[in-house]
Amino acid sequence: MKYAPELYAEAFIQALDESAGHASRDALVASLLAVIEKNGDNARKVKILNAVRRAFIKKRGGREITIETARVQQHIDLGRYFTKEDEIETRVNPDLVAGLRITIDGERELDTSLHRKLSRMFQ
Amino acid sequence: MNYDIIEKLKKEIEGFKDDPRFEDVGSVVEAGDGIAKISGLRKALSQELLSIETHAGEVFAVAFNLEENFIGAVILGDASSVRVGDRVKRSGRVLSIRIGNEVIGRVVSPLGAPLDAKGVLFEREDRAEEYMLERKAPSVVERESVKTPLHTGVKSIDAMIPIGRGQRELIIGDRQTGKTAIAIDTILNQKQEKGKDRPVCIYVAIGQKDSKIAKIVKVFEEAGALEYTVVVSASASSSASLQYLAPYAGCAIGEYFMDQGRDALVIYDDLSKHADAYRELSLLLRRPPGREAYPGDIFYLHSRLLERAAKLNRENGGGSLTALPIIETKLGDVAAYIPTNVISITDGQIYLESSLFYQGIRPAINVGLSVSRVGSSAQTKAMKKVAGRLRLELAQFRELQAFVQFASDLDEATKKRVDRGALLTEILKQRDREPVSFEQAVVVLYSALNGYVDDIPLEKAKQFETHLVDYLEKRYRAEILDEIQKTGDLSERVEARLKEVIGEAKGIF
Repeated sequence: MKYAPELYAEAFIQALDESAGHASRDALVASLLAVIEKNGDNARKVKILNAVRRAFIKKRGGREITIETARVQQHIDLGRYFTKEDEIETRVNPDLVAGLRITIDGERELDTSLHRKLSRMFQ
Repeated sequence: MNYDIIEKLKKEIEGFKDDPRFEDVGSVVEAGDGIAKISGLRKALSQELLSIETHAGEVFAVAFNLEENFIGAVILGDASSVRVGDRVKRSGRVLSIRIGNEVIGRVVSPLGAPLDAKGVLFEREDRAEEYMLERKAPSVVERESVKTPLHTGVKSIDAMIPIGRGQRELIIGDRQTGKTAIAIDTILNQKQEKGKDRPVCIYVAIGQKDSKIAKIVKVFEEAGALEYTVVVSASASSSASLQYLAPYAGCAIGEYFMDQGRDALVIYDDLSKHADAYRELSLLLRRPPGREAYPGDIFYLHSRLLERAAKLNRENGGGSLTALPIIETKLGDVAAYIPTNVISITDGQIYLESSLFYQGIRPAINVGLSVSRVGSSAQTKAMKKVAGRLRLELAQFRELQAFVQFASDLDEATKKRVDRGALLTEILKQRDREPVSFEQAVVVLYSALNGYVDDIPLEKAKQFETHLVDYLEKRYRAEILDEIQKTGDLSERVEARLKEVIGEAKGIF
């Protein structure tokens, strides 16, 4: 491990900004992948690409929102709580039993699941 | 089904209020060897207790390394159940232990869990107080000088290397030289102290074999010493994190009693293993290794622990915490890294030597290298009066002993001095788990130093000592021994009477 994923992401975004108009986006992505391989960080490729994705969302002023529900939901209307810059991902997590859990940027969470209530009740 | 239980549960369910709100969360990105690397939780505090939600339940960890993007945490529970991706939450609490009077007589883990199958620690939770494992040592203004003796029951220590309440005295020596035996004797000897004077003893076992800890607990139990002793156990089978925390837990227990105005004695057995456990954690956390691969803050690790030993002034309750750390040396090398660190932190050391041990001099204390920097002001007047010459006589004896091996004929004065030295060495020998009260030590040393035992053959010296103590205990307890114990002094009247009694005892020996 030569560099942290966040450093790769930061460097990639800066390179993209500085090369506006000169090099194509696809060429830069290819270069990033080549650098990852050259540094022997191939095993962490997914982590690095996730860090790049997070850096993009942050750059445009958005947040990474993960909404977990216990069962498949046809429609969750939470649009008024988020902006169009936010990236929303929905997941099904049967461990929650019922209710939902919202995580923002992987660092803040609102847990209204029945799993949490039950574990608090029997704590 | 039990109607009461159902009713109770129903009430709990009805009364349950949940108020979900946003909270900080992180996730495990790496786990192994009892260490977890956690992303997120940017606001976590150093030493904060973190809760990891694993598939097997909640596991606690302590935030050790606060880095730019990650937290290096030491897992306190079942490390094998922690997996990458597990959610981690802050607890908002730093590591602490619940302490109350009921902890006396129990064997507990460094996290305060009972290990002796004697049931719950506290019958009522309100009787226990939360004490932080890491706490600031009392400041200069809160302290006063060490002036009350803490008798160990070991004649040579009480006479030449006296320990005061609130002092830090290191016990250092190779393996199998009797370091733990001195510590155990000191605890057993506290039984002779009455009422409030008797300190609460805390024995902290770090990286010791479980069988050895069980044996020590049995010794305490059989001697009735468990009535005033707490054992904190982090045996060799415990994780490095628990071994690292054990002395801090023992210290916190001692502080609880010190804050109540009582005296406490804490024994760290031993800090060499503690340093090894900390080295293990530090290397796993990828902290840079220094000398002997110990991390850079290894001195601070022990200094912040031992600084917490103190004698508080009257305004702060007047309690005290005496610390007896133990260090194991390798081949008598006191100049190694950890021994020199702890020697420089403590207020003196009791140095035990293998060669003395194998010569049959037990406790194998090297009187020349052992020292107590503050204890002499805490020594009782009686002991000071009697033992003042002891160290000097023994030093002269050691010096002459080397020459005597080669000299064929000696002048009378030298011979006398050598004989006296040999006699004193014999008198200072003592068996394990047979602590001698200070008043008994005073009369024995008085008789030996004033030449009353000179005409008794060396091989019968120990026998005479036992005879003299027995004679005094049976016939002159109140007149002589109780008087010395009460006043702490050897008055002219008592001294004159003692001279007569020694003569009497010799007459019937």
